[in-house]
Amino acid sequence: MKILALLSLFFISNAFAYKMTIYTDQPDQKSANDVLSTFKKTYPFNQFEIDLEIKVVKPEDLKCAPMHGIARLLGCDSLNIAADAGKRGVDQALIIKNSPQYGGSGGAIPVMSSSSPPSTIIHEYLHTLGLCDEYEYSVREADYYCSVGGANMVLIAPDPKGYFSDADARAKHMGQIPWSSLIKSTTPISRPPSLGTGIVNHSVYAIPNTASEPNKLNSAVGLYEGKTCKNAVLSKNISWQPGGEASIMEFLDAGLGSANEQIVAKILESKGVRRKASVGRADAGIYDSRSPVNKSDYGSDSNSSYSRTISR
Amino acid sequence: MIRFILLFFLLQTTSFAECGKLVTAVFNYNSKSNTAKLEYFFKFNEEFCDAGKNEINANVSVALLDINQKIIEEKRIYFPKFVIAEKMNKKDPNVFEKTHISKGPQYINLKFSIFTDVSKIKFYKIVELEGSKIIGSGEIK
Repeated sequence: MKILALLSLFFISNAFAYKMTIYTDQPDQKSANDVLSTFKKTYPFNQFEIDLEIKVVKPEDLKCAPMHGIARLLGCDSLNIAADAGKRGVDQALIIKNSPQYGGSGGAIPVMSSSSPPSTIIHEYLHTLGLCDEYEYSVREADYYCSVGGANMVLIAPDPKGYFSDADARAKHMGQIPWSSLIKSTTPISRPPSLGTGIVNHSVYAIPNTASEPNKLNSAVGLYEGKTCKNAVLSKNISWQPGGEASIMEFLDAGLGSANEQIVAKILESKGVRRKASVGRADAGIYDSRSPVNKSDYGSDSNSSYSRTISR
Repeated sequence: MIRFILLFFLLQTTSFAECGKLVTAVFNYNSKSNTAKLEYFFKFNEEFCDAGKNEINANVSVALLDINQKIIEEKRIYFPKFVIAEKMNKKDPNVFEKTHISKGPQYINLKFSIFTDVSKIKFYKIVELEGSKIIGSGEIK
């Protein structure tokens, strides 16, 4: 009977497993293997039951081509791949194109070139999940992009009259913030009369997190002024982000950051991706080589104001 | 022994309550025209348990309907609105250099668990959650 019960558990577990397939035309699959290992160790993906596999295909199956004649703007007509994924019961296809160029694209099927860092596909997959870029857009793109927002970005034009208290700011804006449930009551979203927990410190990077819980070293989840929409001409909105440091949505060698980690975990849960059975808490991998960061840049309840500073 | 029997039936009940036959669909969402259509539909004998029928940042509802346009299965999911093509700096591939936002067709894979007879599925309907606009509908052959 024990066996029967275990078999039943196994059956149910299989029926829930989230299948991701990396389609690549790189013969030795090197880049796909690197991506697979990056996904497996990166929080929060490392906390979910995700079956990752690699499938080698012919270049013509990927139908990837430079967009707008620019070699590094890589896009793929992915109907073939989506059809194969559908036929095989795959939840999410990803594409790694064998190419010496650095580039990728985020949409329904994330794409990266084999020469790009493995974190590129995580960045592009976060677009698939609805997260926005956190780097500065050009004038041409900013107006278009800054009319939308996403899971990690809200566009708010602050009240010109200002805010007389944090309660005032919360009453006016908490309903607009997609990640409001992650903001603790002790973290202000304003510095009256100004809106915002603070300004994103773009020289401080969230460290890639291989632990089993959100990065404790980052600023408290709040409302931080970003720069994505700085160059927007038509829009008077300011872009606001949940985290106070640069994340993978700005630089590929940064981590997701505690705030985006929590947002992604929530999205994965709502997609029905099952969490792994609890096997103990944090390993210490991410806590090495830290340096203090000026606390005044961050939310008042930040118990985690350490991060790695990288200068470019 | 009784405990194991109870556990087995409890697990089976959970399984049957949330699981059904797997069907997968590939939808073509064209952000330029804001329309969607079904490209492929696959039926499986495999069991699938769908715990992802209501994504937190869903922007569309996708429904599978019977001959009387009655909903057999529906899920609310997120359709990426555009493709963001990004190129990185030649000297430092960790830094983004140029972005191009592109509107056009994107292919979205979806999985459904079907409790009833799969052959009853005849139509599909895709509705934008904001404004309840139907952006795609048609017959499933």
